[in-house]
Amino acid sequence: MNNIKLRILNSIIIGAIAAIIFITVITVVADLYLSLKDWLKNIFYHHWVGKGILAAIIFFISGILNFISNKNADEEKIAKNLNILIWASIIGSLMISIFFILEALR
Amino acid sequence: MSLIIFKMSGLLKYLLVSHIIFGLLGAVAFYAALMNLLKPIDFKKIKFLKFVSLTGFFGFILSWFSGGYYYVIYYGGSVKPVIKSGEYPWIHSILMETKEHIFIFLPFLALVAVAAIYLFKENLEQNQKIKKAVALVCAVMVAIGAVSALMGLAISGAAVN
Repeated sequence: MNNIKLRILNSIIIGAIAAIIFITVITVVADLYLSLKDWLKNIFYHHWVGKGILAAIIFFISGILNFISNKNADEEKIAKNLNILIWASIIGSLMISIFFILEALR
Repeated sequence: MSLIIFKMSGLLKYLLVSHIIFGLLGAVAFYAALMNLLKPIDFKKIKFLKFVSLTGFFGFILSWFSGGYYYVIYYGGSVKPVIKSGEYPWIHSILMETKEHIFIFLPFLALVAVAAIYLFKENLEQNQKIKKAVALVCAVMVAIGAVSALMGLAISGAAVN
């Protein structure tokens, strides 16, 4: 597989990792700091819409920055980043659910 | 007893049903992708993988938008208060809050799977590490999709008043 295709795939993976980490962090922080939730609501009409739009923006920016800065991508790196993505999704899902359970018990 | 659904406009009913159907389509499509990624890939299989992964991606996107519109316009003002004042307020506080946020992972995960399948094509068979990792990405999507569907069922049940 040629280097450009590897770089594109790697950048999409990096973008997805960044988006998932962002969603996890902003979900927790916005619920703990209501001023952030209010800011999201004021700018984007609804906090959840804002989280989705910002996650998409972060996906694109991270992906593009990775594509520009990483001139070489190899299959080992892609395999490693895919595993990071998998763990980020699992840990992010668990963190979000545990956070809301703890919030409900408070 | 009446379901909240009967107070919704026609558009909102269609959007809620679309959200469910497209979400399930996404999960089923990536389950099909996962099952095929667990076997050797050839030229014929890659055509199928391309089709199901793209179907799954668009399924999640359409589910996101249709459910999102329903959630933003209707759920917060009309359904959430009923659940929170009912017997099971935790169904909103825990299940809905979790579901609405982990769902957003899905389009990004789906795009990674689509990109890997389209860019690698049958060369995926030559790199077992990447093939297994893509299969795991599909498995994560199926798991999140299944959990979200079950949560949605509970939320709909709690919305009966």
